[in-house]
Amino acid sequence: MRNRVILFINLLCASLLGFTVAYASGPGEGGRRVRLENEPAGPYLIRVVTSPTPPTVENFNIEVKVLRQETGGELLDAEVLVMAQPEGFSAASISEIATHEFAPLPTEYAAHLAIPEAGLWLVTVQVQTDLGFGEVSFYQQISNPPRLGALISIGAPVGGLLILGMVFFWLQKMSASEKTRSA
Amino acid sequence: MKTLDLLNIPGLGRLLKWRWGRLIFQAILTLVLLLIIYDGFTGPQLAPVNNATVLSWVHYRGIVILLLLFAGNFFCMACPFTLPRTLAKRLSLRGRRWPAAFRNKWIALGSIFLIFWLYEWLDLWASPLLTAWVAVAYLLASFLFEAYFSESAFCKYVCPLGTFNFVYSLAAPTQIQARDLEVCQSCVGKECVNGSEAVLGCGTELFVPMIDSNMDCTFCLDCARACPYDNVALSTRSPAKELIDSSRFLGWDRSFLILSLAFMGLMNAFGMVPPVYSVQIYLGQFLRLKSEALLQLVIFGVGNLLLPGLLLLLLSWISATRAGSQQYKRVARQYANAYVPIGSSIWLSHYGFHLAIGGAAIVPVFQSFLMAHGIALLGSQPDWSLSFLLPQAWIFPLQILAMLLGFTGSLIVLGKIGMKRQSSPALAFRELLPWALLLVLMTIAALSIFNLPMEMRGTRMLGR
Repeated sequence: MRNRVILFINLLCASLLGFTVAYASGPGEGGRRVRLENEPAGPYLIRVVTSPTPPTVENFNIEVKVLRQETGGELLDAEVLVMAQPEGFSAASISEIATHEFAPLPTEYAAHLAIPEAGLWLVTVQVQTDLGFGEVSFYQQISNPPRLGALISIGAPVGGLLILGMVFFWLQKMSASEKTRSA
Repeated sequence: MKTLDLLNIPGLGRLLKWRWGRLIFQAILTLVLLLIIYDGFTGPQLAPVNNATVLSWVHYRGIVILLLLFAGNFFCMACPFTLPRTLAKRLSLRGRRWPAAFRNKWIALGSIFLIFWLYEWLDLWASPLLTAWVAVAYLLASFLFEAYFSESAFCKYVCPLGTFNFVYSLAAPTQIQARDLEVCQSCVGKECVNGSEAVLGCGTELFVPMIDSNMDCTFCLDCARACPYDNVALSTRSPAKELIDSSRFLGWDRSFLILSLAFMGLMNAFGMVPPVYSVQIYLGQFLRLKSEALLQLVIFGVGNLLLPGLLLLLLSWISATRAGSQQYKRVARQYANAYVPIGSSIWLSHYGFHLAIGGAAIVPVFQSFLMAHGIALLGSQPDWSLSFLLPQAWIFPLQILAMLLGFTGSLIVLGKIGMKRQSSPALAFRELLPWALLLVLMTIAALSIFNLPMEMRGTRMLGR
């Protein structure tokens, strides 16, 4: 029991003080952004939402809503493939099947693309059903995740405290010498 | 320090003091509120394309903290939730006094915890419908409280939004003041608090010459309108002044509220970064809990209430003991003020981030709303490329800068409080050191959280 408590406290502290970047566990709201809204693609209208904003290396989610262009009805049995290709630099292309299971809204499709490098990527969404094939694309800038070194995240607060200590040390010294002088 | 009276500025002062001045601002925000409710109930149920979620969780939160820190509690001035309250008052439904036992901030603290817990548990940010329900519940609550109790009990003792604003307006650069205290001394009617025939007095029953704090002041300016001598000023001041000088007797509730809100800032941001999943999964296994609501209650109950509560007691005891005193409550009351700057910077870094990355998205969202109702006033195609308000490269450095400024502000306030309380710098430093250590730890924790990718609950956690 005691070990478990210690483990839990350690886990909590480690999660607060962790400097390594942990990655997304699913599409969410950390800056969700509509990229395409009712974009015609073959027999479909497609909405694409990305998250988080800004997307970073290995942390890019995509949610897709597929509508039938004729009726506007939502299509729930489509095969949705999401691909990303680097633009103007060399890196491996990646693709993922978007699924309902991964989507926050159960009628939509979502996938997590672990894009390996920062830069401009061409993201393509392909949809296939009995109605036929449809495809939409858009460019997506992927950034490196912001990193803050320990020098700032620990050094600055600790340094601030040391400066405060020095100011009080100096004040104490001044006050003592003033007292001596007046005595 | 030379102060500026905003009510003396030509045009602005007249507008603010005009009988219907407040109503203009309230009318604007009421329209926004109605849009939130209408679109939340009837619009698309995808958060980033609905006015309810975008306006509530991106714009309101970011703008309100900026307003508080750079102007004052102007949201409470324009609060649309006070309109049904005023209606209740006009209908003469106002009744009994708020019970004496609850004339403190404990219920407000509970309601602010409740709203943050609901936010985490129900994923309010992701649901336009639930966001609209929250707005409706708010309207009803403000009406019922005002109908049943007098003295703006909802604003003063219950409202979570108002409580947040009251706390961070302690560091605001403006405050209501008497222009000439001698005029107040000779005043018979005390209209600023009692009201006149034409204007209601202060809703939260503050008496202008005795105001030394922005706590409980909604900036409604009824005092300025009611004063027959034009003796009320809305003056600029040093943001640190009240934090250092406030001499009003206050209990544990306010100290706890200030520290707890700073911790809520940390926990609210922590709830949006990936490590929270690990904690949640481990805790679920450890406590054999399957209910997400209970798990969130445990995590946020510990982080938002238990931890700051215990730390407040512990630090007061250590601090007072180190200075050879037994005035724990007084020590807590004064040093807790130093957590206002750090708390506000945590909230600013977090909410400012969302406003900076998604502030411009309101344009296509509103375009889309108009188009859905057959109005092509703002074009026939929403411009979904709009999202960022600031260049992306600026945002992270600005978050860090805000954190470090808040930390520095807190250290300065802490130092000045210590020097004010103690006769020698050495003794002051002994007394303030435990509080300063907590500040350092909170800043490190906040910087570490903002160093992680900010996102919200993933679907894996929910088992989808």
